[in-house]
Amino acid sequence: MDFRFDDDVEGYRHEVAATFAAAMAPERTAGAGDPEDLTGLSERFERAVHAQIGELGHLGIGLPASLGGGGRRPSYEAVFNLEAAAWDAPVVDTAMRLAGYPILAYGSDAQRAWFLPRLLAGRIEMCIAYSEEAAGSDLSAIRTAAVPDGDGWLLSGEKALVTGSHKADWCCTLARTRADGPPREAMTMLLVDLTQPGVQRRRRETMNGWTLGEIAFDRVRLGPEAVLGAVGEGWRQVLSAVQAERSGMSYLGFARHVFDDLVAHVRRAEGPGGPLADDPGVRDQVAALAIDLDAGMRLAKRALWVQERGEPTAVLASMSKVYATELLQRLAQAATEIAGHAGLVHSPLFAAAPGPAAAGGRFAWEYLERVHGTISVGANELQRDLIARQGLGLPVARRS
Amino acid sequence: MDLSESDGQLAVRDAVGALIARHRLSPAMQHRLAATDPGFDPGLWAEVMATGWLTVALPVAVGGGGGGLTDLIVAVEALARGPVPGPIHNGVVASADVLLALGGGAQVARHLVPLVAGARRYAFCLTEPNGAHRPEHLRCRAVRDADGWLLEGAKCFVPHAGSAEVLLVVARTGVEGRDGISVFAVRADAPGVEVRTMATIGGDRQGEVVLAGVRVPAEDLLGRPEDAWPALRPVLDRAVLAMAADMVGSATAALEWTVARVCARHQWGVPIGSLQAVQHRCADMSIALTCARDAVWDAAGRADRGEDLTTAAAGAKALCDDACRRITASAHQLCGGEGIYADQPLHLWYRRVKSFEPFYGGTRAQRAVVAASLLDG
Repeated sequence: MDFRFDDDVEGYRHEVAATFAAAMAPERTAGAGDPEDLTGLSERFERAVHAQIGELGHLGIGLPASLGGGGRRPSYEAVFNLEAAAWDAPVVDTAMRLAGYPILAYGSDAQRAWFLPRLLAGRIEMCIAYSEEAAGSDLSAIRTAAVPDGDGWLLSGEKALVTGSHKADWCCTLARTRADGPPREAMTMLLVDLTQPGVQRRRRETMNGWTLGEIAFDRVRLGPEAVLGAVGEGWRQVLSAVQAERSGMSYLGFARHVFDDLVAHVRRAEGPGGPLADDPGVRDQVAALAIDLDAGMRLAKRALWVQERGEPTAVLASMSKVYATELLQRLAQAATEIAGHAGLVHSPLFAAAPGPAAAGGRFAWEYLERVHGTISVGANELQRDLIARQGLGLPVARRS
Repeated sequence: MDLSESDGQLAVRDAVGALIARHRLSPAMQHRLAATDPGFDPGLWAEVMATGWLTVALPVAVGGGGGGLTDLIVAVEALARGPVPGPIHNGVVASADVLLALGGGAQVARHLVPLVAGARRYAFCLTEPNGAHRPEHLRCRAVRDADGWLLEGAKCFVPHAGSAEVLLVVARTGVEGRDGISVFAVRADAPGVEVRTMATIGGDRQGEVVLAGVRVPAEDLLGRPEDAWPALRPVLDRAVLAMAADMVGSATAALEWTVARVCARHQWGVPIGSLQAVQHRCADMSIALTCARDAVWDAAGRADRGEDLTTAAAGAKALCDDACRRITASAHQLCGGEGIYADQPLHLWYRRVKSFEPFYGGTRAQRAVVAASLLDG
């Protein structure tokens, strides 16, 4: 077996890495920090990089050329995500990645014609607003509702846990369009312009300083063109497989970044008993993480390989997501523990760290940050359910 | 990127499966076999050797298959699934590689060819009673004696040593450190050789080998004196990777057994496999197994492309030590009381995985190799 990326993919990976090395150079990011945003960067900086990356044709690298994309295999998108994350570039949760695929899959000709060029150019920010306070993993509990109003809808309800809603121009949301009937037939996906009347956005600070959003819709008037896909099909549309690569490569980009920081720290730092690099316990931990990081990369590559062969990829995508998000937690734990007191000194990304901080405050930031990876994008419990049932054929449990 | 398995590799897996099915070694029978020499079924073993699966990576000129390390791990993995007991690792994989790496033409004809043909059994004797396996720690010595050598010392933890006819003994002939190491082919029935088999939980009939003034003819020094270690290092890398493949085979079988069991076993009117606590443990076993297997196959692929194997093999062994041990232990947990009986197969895989852990230097020693590649220099 050969787990190396093909030469063309590896070449592309180097190309995007070089782009990020320039775009994210310290002199470029200096003064652009914003600890209240998940990216750690100001909206202005983010939009500039987003547009630059869009202009270079990276955002739709995996889309068919007939739709304005690069027409490349999922591996290209995967290595883009790997490098974007490894460089802390604000193009991991792009509008294209979050909302582009549902629009591509279910959008009308008019919706595609309006959104796709803007998504590909990186000139629009979008968010995904499915979850509600009472509806996290169980979307059947969604209460936000759109009631018919003339030829359109009136949307009311509250969405929670929305990444980047404060800076989004549009959101893709899910609402009940029928008061009765099973939830599977009562939901509809909607595209909502967040600048219109009746939309209120609040920012709520997370444990790591950046904010998630809550969006309140109060009788927001939507035209018929707001419906994405078919009325009543929202449940199935949200759950059905998206075309995006699902290898989990962005998690591994973050993991590579932290691991490289950890190796650099261990090679350089002195503990109370001498150089950390001479401590057998530390060496053992670092080696174990290196082995796990390699394993995570192989798992993600296997998910990609299966996807590119047109085979079902859900089980491997779930495995990779579980493994990588839990690896990030192990990395954060090991790095903070090895660095000791200095490992708990915290700094937001792209901010000046206090002197004693290990890795510029990154290890402490990681320790807080990596809590949510195992919860979001399908909690790891749900991923394990899927691995057991689809991967191993275990029987579905009775659920009350 | 190419993660496919060749038709030939799939065919070997099927053939091993068919052989295992034909022989139907019951767990109880295997358990009894492990209690006496040689510890395996000689008839089945002769068949295994006759297929050439375990010698597939050796040159055609010595009777091997001319294949790669990947071809070998396919066979090892499949035999472990059985599980098929036998001197796979020490007796065939490592011993053959030692003879290939060090032996001259006449020695290859005298030793490697009969080993490959399954006509004679060998044991590779490196580790010493205190666990020493690195060249700078070895104490077993050979000194020149007339036109030959006189061997003095002890080796230990040698799988299936008691049934070997020739012992490949690593001994110091020169200076302290890495540079004074030689290897001798010693007849097990030579005066002064004593092999005592001891009980280990691995079921691999490990022996202690005492060498008390053993005379070895000059022609049984393999290669040149004091020159062995550089050739042995890659032998150990390959041996370690083959062990990792064996663990993957055991873990694969244990997970398959477990999945079948939790689907069939009902409690409270439902299959226990429908319970989330059971499902999640199975999911973790499946993730760990995928990681373990891919680590082994990745390393074998690198070796077959001519890349250095040391770090990749060490990483794969360390990963498999932990992952496969956890998988076989989880299998026991999920299969409950029924699984602990000797006439059930789970303990065979549980033991077998554990048996490889201490070679060569154990899990931490493998991680130390990985650490050195990251933190030194």
